[in-house]
Amino acid sequence: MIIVKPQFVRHEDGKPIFSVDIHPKGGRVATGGQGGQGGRIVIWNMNPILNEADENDENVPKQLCQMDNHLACVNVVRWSCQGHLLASGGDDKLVMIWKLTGEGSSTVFGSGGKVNVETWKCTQTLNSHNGDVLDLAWAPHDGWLASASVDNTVIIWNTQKFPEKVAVLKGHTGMVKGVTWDPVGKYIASQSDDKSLRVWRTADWQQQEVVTESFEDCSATTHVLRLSWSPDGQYLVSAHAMNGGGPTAQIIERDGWKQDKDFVGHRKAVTCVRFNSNILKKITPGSPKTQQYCCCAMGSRDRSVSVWLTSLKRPLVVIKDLFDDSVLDISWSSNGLHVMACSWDGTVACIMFDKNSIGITLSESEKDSLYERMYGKSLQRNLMNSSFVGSQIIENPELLSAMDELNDNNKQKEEDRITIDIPKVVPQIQLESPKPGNVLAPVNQQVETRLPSGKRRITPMCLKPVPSTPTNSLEVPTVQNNTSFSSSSPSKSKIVVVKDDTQLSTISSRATTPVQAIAASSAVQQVQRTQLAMARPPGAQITQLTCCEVPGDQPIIQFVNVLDPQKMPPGQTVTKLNGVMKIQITNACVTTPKGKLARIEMFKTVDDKSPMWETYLGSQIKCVSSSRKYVVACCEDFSVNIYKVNSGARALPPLLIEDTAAAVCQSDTDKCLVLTKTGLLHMWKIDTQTSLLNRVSLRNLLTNKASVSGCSISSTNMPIVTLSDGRAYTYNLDLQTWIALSNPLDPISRSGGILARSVAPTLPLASLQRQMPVVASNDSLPHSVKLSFLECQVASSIVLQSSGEFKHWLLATVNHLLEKGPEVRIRHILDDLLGPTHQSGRTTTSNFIVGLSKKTLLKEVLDVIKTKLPWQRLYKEYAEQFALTSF
Amino acid sequence: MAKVQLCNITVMDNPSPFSNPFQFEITFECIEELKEDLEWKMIYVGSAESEEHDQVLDSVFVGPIPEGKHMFMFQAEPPNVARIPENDAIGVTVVLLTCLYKNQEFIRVGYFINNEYADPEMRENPPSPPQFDQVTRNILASEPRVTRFKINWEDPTPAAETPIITGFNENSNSISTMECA
Repeated sequence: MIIVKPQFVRHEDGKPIFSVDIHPKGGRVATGGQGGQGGRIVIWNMNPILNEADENDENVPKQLCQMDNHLACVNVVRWSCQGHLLASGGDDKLVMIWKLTGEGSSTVFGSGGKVNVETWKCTQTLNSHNGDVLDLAWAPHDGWLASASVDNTVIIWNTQKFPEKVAVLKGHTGMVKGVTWDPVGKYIASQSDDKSLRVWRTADWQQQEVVTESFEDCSATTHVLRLSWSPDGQYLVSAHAMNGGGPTAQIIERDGWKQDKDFVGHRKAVTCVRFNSNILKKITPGSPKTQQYCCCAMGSRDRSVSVWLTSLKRPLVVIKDLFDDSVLDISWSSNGLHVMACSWDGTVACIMFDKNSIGITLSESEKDSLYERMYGKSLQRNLMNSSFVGSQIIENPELLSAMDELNDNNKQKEEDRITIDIPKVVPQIQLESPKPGNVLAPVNQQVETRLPSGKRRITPMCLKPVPSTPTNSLEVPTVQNNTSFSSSSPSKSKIVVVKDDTQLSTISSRATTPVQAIAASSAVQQVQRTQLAMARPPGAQITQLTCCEVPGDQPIIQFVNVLDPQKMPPGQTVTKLNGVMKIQITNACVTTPKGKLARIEMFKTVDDKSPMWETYLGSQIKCVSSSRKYVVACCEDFSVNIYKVNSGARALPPLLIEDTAAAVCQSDTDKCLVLTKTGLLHMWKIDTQTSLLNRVSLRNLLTNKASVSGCSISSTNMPIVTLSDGRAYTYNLDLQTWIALSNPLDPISRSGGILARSVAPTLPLASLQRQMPVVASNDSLPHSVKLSFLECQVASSIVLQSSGEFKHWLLATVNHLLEKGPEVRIRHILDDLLGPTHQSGRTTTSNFIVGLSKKTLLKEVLDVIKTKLPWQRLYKEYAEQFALTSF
Repeated sequence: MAKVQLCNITVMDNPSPFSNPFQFEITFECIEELKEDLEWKMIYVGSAESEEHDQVLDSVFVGPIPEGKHMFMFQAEPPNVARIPENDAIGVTVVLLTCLYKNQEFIRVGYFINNEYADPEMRENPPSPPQFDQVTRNILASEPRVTRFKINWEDPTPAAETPIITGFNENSNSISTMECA
């Protein structure tokens, strides 16, 4: 046995090191504690700790990476069982997940020239605990991560979908200071200052057992209570317990949770217990029988570390005065021969055993057969599946192969990721190296603008393109809304403005700019707008002005409502471009004794001087809209005049509505929608000269002092009305009623609003729901609240016929149902997609929904269900039916 | 945890005459897209005695900031010499770079500066009043002092949240005359 206290493993000024964990593949060790002004995590090279020659070799890096991101002391660091991730928890109430990136070495800014040989990046920050996080544990299959906190709870995180929570274990009435998983996967145990140790079932996350007897006399004198479960699953060993007035570590047997043994000997409270992850064996000379046992190390406030074998009544070794202060954490290497411990005194110690003293480790297959003997089945320990349930048995062969496939894929991925080894000189990273295409290519420009306040606004140059997130992959947007350009546009741009074509094409829905301002009484606003237009490059202007029609045979993207009906001063000419054509409206162009005339002129191109056609109206024009086919002008005298674009001929006689029009818009075909000042909607189909909507009032929508902020015709030819408070409605012609699409004020929407952000904001429904509040999801609400929200989203997507969104929300609903139930709802969805199995003669049900094939959707839904073991029977049932109907 | 990590600051044009602008090339990394701009400030500490003599040399907004690594040049004019106490003009002082998100400061980087006359003669017998055109500014670029603060990166509580009114269609004006019946 060799004991080493590596002097270089320190966090600045001897600050306490609260946690130590050896990487499961060896090579690295992580420490967590204080450093700088906050928390610090350091990843060290293991070789210089184990090997003196390496320690003295200057070419061997000692520190691999230092992360100062935790704002307060780091209480625990834990590698995942596969070793690809590192989790850390601290006094800043956060759990962070770290991953190695391929960026290579860099200096640590502000640390006086320290070099990070590797770059570990925080990929997730889990912010749900209301108090310091004291302990962490990865489940044996790495699908879950448990965090124990001062807030009296243990949170189980879904490691596949951070920051999703699988469960919050509530029950402790004091700070939870330690957490450990049953290696068999059936339980998780936690120890708390409330003088109890609790065992929870992983099947339903309910409490299985509470042990208090041995802890009654314990006082809360330790920073942590890191308990541990033996690798054979038979024993759970607690941290600080009391027996007969002396500190012990209580042994709790799995069988009946009996507590009749304990480890005695430490003079002060035991802070941490850690089992060697191996099951060991020793061949006793002269006896044919091999003995199998486990080995555990414990550290105490009495500054000593002891190592025990379950086959021996006395400790294998006790190392006294190893530290100057309390031991805080212990870790075993996966080969089972090295133990590292850390202490409040800011140092770590490494104890190296040889095989003779510890024993021979059982091979994986021996271990598996041992488990099978003990627990009747082999463990699916590497199952990277969020729905893994310890007691789940795969029942049919098809699913088994599906599971294997899934595992293989995951394993493959893991293998790709985990091939990290530390070479002697400088570690080579083979992880996620940036693809050659994505080489840093800074455009050496920063865009500077000046804000109205006079301050500069700098758009920094992006050094590294981030791979687009999967949320963007949701189909092509059909409605393009310009969100940002107009509001913050500078009037004077001082420095090089980088603009490219892609940028310009996104602003296609910007509308009218008055080109000629004849009237002397031009409002200030108008002047500003003109300047705005002139400041833009000439090429962009046309794009800017695109309103109804896109040149060529592209479909019309969006209608635009040209004239502000209330503010238009008389006698002003307003020009509007209609794709390739230009319309010019001049109110009060001719004054006759009986009144003023208004003129509409249509020019073939933007630059044409003489109109293709012109027409006069005897009343002032309030608003105009034009599509590829028709020009619609609404006048002060309540008339609606419709002309053909190409000839100027009247398509319909002047229609008379009951009030001044406030807004007019047209669909890309032949529908025309007019909203009056008093809030009545008219909609006509011009081609057939029929009315679709007649005097439908939207006044009942205008509660809470909201006003109408927009009205349009959707791609499905339904009127859509948006209100100033973010609500959006559509009117269903068949149901003859309003349908709510977005309601930021609705409490259900509030609870689910954050989910709506996962969809590209340009999609039809998402564009209407831009004002959905982003509120962190509230766990206290019943699961069904989220379900209700999801179902509303599905229904709204159908209304808008937005297939991309429909699929997104449908799958989200299925995923939610698979986790929280109830089963009837999943069945309903599946039945619906499956359609009737026996079609009775003539009745044909549609095989499509929102333009998507139901069969394809069903296939996708089934693929999701396939990965969730608890639902295997459901999967089988429907997969069989699906197979039948597919013929 | 902080959504923005400072990766590096390069001090440009250093050492330089006192009247040259300050130039820092700042590299930072953002772990998720920020809803609002960052505000960077450059503060010149005029006197160690009191904050009264601090001068904000410049303050800029930086944005929009998508996820990823970004870099920009923060340049600001030198301090107004009239506002520096005569005793503190020459010698060691500090320039601070601080960054705020939603008006909350989350990182502060301090650099020591040594202002010195280039001419050894003048160094021996500093003139009064100080002749700033003879002074060389040397920023101790190798030893930045970094202080981080914990701030709330998330949106304010829902109660305080006021929805931003962006119309569905930017061009149709709100029909404000319509009344609720």
